[in-house]
Amino acid sequence: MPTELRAPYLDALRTGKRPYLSVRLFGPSGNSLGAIGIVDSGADVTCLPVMTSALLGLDKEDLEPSRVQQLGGAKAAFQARDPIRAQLDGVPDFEFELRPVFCEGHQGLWGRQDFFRAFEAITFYEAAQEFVITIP
Amino acid sequence: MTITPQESFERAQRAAMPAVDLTEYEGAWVALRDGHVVASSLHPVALRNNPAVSADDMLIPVPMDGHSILIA
Repeated sequence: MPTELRAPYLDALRTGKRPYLSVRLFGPSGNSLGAIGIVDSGADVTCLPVMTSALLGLDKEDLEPSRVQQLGGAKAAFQARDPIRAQLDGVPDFEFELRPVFCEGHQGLWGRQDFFRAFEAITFYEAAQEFVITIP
Repeated sequence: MTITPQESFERAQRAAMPAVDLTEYEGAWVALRDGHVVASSLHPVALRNNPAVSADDMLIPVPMDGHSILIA
């Protein structure tokens, strides 16, 4: 039976109230990292600050060149060749996979083609300033 | 008392988020434990290797942008 988890928008980094979510990521050698990002339906895939790849223990061989399109234009980036495991903080029983792009910037984004696909639904309630993640 | 999935989720998410003003760390990475800064560094790998930092701590970069409208 699906489980709905409700979360408020937060001003987590003093940059404005947004649908922030904390996710634990697991690198190929088993090291884990807690990461904060914005649940972003406008991002094709999950995007993480470039140095996050080093923290996850990803080597050059684990990454492939990619490009990301931002408002300022296209920029070089690297994407994980293989998916990495992830869990929502506080939900250890449900594991999913992400194939993030690592790019410039300080803001993590949980994107559609990997993060959103892991769940039955992600619903934003803008007036209430909250969102609901439905775990299958 | 049974903890519901929602309660477990809420507690963990609250503990992971910064509970303090991170303005003084703008541009650096910080290690957070229960929302409070344990250590900081300009280089995240150096931060991870800091003995004060544990594997369960959150390691996050602190944006320099300040309050702004995000369109992505």
